[in-house]
Amino acid sequence: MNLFRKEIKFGLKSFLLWTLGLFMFVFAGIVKSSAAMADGQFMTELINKFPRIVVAVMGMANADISKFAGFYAVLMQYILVLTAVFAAHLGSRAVSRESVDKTYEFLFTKPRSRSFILARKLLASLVFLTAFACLNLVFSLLAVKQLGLEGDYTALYVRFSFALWFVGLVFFSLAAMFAAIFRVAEQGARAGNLAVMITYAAAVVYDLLEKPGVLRLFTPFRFFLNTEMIDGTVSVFFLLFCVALSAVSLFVTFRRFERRDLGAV
Amino acid sequence: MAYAIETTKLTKYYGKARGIVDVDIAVEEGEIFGFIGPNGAGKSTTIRTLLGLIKKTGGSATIFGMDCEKDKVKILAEVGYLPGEVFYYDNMRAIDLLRYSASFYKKDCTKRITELADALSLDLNKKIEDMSLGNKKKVGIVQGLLHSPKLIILDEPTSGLDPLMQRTFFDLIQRENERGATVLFSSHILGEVQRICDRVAIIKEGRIVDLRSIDDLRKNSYKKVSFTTENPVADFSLAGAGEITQDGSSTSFLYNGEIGALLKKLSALPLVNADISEPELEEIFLHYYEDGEAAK
Amino acid sequence: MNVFRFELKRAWVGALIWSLVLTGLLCGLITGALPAFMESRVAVENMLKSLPPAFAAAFGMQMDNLFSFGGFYAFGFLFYSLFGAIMASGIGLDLFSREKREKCMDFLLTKPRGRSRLFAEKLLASLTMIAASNVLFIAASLALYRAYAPQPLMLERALVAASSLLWMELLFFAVGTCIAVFAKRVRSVSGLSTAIGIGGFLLSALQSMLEEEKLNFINPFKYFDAAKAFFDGAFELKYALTGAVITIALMAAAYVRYTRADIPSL
Repeated sequence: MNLFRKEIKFGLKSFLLWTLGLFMFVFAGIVKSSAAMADGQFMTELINKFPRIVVAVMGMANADISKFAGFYAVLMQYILVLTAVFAAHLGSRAVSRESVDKTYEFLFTKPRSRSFILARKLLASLVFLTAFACLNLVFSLLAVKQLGLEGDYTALYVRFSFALWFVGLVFFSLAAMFAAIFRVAEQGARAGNLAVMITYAAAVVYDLLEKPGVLRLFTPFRFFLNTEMIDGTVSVFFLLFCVALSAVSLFVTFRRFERRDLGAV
Repeated sequence: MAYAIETTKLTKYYGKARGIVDVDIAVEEGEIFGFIGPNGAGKSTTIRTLLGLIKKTGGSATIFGMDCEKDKVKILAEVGYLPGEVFYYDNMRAIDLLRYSASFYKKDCTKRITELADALSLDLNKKIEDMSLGNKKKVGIVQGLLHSPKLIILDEPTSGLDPLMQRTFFDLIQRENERGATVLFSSHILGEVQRICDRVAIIKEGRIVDLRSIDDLRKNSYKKVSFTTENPVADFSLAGAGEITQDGSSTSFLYNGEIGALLKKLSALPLVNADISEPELEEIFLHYYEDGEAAK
Repeated sequence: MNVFRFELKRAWVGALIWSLVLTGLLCGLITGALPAFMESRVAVENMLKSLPPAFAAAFGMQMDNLFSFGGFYAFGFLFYSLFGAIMASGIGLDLFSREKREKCMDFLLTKPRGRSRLFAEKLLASLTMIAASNVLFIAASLALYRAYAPQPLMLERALVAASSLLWMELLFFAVGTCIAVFAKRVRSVSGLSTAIGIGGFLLSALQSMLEEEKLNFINPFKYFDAAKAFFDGAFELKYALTGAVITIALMAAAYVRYTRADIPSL
């Protein structure tokens, strides 16, 4: 348990920094929503006149910003990117920090199995991810309260916060896996970040295509589509897919980590 | 003649924490100067100040008559430094690192690199990160000596070297010394200081507590005496003897006094075996520290 | 110049890949989407006609700018900036924290080179990579401009606009350098540089959401605005100045720290 506590203490500072970004973004975004919605109908129509590629690159595909839910969904797309980068950072750090700090000899000669140690590290990181998603919910509620908006959108926030958590989990697990596979920590971290960027590019391509089909499987950013989130028709398949993908990645992480040679860097 | 290293009232504080206070040492050109003290006494702080890695708080330090801060670059061209723990760039072969190191000096060091590597039997084509601690250390040694420096600074250099390698290492250092290089050698292992140093400074809690030649240090102090008798000797005592321990028929003590008196006393006993030896520096040194503690 | 060569040798592959991705993205967007974008003007104008005249007039003013090579070019800049920021801050972080990361400060700093000289050589290596990357980007921009923009061409404007990436990258390079020099420990260059890039991206998104003019002062992607350069021929002075001052201040702080700091033993 002391290991777990130590990990929490260690990660707190960077967590607060990321949370600050989240806070700024959610508040600024939501406070702005009323103004955006005023000419939202016009903007939405206008956007649809532009070629798909432009709309996709802007991240406005299938967005209806004339309604609060539509605007919130666009906002959440940005938050999703933020969460993904944060989660990837958490994942690779959990696996490779001791190697980077050259303290692995200290920790991994203690009478605990590597899996035991890794499990606690990953768990502590997941606490941060969970807190991040929860704070998104809290910030959203608080920000909207300021606005005095009509209607209750709590369910919408909850759905999006869950989506953040699940997508975050995928990137978290992938990054952890890469960190466990690559011998050099920096390469592992780079692979984790690349995964975020490449899948984001895939998401843009997804928006670009009329019939993206299986492409959706390759981009966690589109596992939960805005339209589904707004309607509350979350795809159970993709929810399970998230879990399965993470489970496989984490399984590989543990296996590789248990067997690899530990060393500095 | 200018000293190779001279410091006067050299002081370094890390914020409020004590690093070194009023350190005065003068190392003559061509000597091997030992610098001993326990962990945290300020050995590394002194060396790092000399090398310009950290900035002094007060006092002055010169190497070959040049100021350690103002003329740092000129000084460093003549200095070879081997730190206690060696880390180098990842993903580099030893030879790549050594070539990079050599490129900082205005001379061709290629021959010297192979010479040193042969002497230490070091495989230059191996990646440094795949090397054992001892081999990394060897890379460090070659790295510190490849430009035939006039001053060699060693900061606890022998950790990680096996005894055989240590001997090779000391031979190398001594050869460099014969060639004319001055050596500053910090250590907390007294045996190795005793082995090669001419003079030694003892540092404790940031201050120099003594500075004298190795011979002097030993001469002016204790003899280690032990003897065995046929039957246990009851209540052995002698003026000048300290720390007397008796175990059955064996007795041992440290003696500081006239040697004739000692022999007279011993010859009167029914001896089976007797041994009078110079104590290891270590034993004197511990004495030093314990005294210091007591004086406090 | 051995440190310069050494640093270049260690970092050029990464910089090259980033440059290719960046320039590839530019070429892909322009060749792939610019024609379709121009064609959509008719549809947009038709829609505007159905709106109240005052509204349409306000928007119609911007039509010529929006539906031009410059408009579309500037539109992609959010992404070029993001990639450029990650690359440039990464270069700063990588080169200036190299000895810190690999725990060999002692090695480099006991060589007969002044710290100013070391700083200068590392800086020069960084600038070489950033400059090379931008030469590629600017050349591609100008070539695309010649190929896609209608006559008369205004090459200087295109040049100033394309250079906005360079200035922005210098700013982020300074941020990366400063962090590298001041941080006690740099764990992951790619992690930090991604965070820095995303941070810039979010500040930029924040500004465009709030549409608050003042926020441009904390929007690093807007200090050197490509759109402004394209249509006015120059950057907006107050923002460009802000960017330049920040860049220089950060670099100066990094320099002072690098040349003066005590190097702790391991």
